[in-house]
Amino acid sequence: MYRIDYGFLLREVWVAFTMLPFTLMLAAVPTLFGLAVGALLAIVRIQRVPVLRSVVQGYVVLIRGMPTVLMLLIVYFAFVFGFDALMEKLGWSARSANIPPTLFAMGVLAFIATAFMTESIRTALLSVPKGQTEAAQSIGMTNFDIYRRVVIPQALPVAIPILGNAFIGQAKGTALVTMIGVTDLVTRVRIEANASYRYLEAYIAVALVYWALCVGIEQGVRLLNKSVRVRAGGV
Amino acid sequence: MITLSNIHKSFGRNHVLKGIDLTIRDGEAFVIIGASGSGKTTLLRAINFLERADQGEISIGGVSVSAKRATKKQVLDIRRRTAMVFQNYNLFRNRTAIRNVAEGLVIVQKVGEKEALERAAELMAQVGLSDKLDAYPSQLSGGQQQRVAIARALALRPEVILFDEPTSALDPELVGEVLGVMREVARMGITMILVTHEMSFARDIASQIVFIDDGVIVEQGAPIEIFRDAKEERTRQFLRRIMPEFTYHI
Ligand SMILES: Nc1ncnc2c1ncn2[C@@H]1O[C@H](COP(=O)(O)OP(=O)(O)OP(=O)(O)O)[C@@H](O)[C@H]1O
Ligand SMILES: [Mg+2]
Repeated sequence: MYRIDYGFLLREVWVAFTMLPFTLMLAAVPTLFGLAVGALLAIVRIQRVPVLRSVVQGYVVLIRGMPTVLMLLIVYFAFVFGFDALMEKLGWSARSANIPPTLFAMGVLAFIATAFMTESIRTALLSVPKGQTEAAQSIGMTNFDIYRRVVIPQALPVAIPILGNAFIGQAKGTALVTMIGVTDLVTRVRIEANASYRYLEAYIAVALVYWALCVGIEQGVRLLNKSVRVRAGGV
Repeated sequence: MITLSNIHKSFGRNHVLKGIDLTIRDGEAFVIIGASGSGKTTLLRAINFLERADQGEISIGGVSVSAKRATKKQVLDIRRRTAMVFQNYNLFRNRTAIRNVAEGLVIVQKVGEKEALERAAELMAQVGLSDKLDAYPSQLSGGQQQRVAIARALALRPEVILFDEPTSALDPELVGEVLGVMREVARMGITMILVTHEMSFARDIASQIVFIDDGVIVEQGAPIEIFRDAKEERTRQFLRRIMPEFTYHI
């Protein structure tokens, strides 16, 4: 019967834990990027900007309907081959191999995050009843003021839990970057397991650290939500 | 003075307004009546561009704009000359009652915060809600919310206030308090355009009544001319249906 090596497990939890800041960065940077760009794209869709809105919609549908792992691999290989071919044609010396994998992984994750954030923000903005906007229009507020004073304050309490979930999804997705050569906590722990064949312990250790990360994010979101709800006046 | 000329509006293939011409003089309580779906709400919303008419001209207090070609700036200008009271109140849910009233003063008219709140408090007193200044809409009854909404409209001192069935979402026992406030607004000489099914109220306060059917004006006149001496059979039919007791009173 297989006996779990708790000492090894504990050690690997620590190893994985030391990589946590890196993972947090891999999750947070693309999410923040996604928030900023997603807000713009959400408004493009809501304001029905011609042509652009269809492009955005296509992009969101494409990304949301695809497992992150596939996205990562497809973009990775497409990029590697495409980029190198292009550089060769231009006669430039840059090669994809010289791009740090971390930067590349963040780019792909941001590409994915933006789609989810666009949809989350759009959902939240659409949750504000039309009558609220119309009341603001009827007193002659500008579009900018309507968003600033009416729509966004009311959308925030709706947005935060949705965005929190998207952030958690994004954090979990970072476990895949090891596949494209980024040294993250999965990679580190696997290297150690290679020596002892203690893969089960190693992956449990990683899972525990991810679990702690997600619980942490969830708590943070909860606190944020509470403070926003208070300021929004119990909407 | 407000004039609408040749207002047309379609939703897809549904031709809702078929060339509406109206003139509303300053200080008038102008009442629009008509069956459900006849286009009353659409007409009201066309005036402040919540709905953009396909054709026609809207002029309020000397500014005249083409419904179809009005620029963003012109739309804003028209909206700043009007205010609207909605069937569902539409108070800003994230602001207290007094802040709802002050919002337009601070954000649109750039009145200082302190002065705005003072004026808002006065208006809240006028609508009998001095004790609800800091209540959020969710903490107010429908009648109270609608009175705040009227105060919000009054705060801007618009050239006209548009009322769209302001009492029809209210429980019957709350209708009276809102009608009371509206009566006060009419007495103050503020121009109002009112869509309502409250016929006895309309008869009391209206200076002019128009009957709209199927997107056209069928008949217009003083209350007595409509309620007692309607010339058009369609008007009489509508009135009989909406207030059957009416026939007995003559
Ligand atoms: N946003 C819209 N999109 C499509 N059709 C609409 C829209 N608003 C109104 N209509 C249609 O326009 C017609 C007139 O509607 P409107 O709301 O102006 O009637 P109304 O006279 O206010 O009726 P009620 O007394 O029931 O409020 C109806 O056939 C309605 O279905
Ligand atoms: Mg209506």
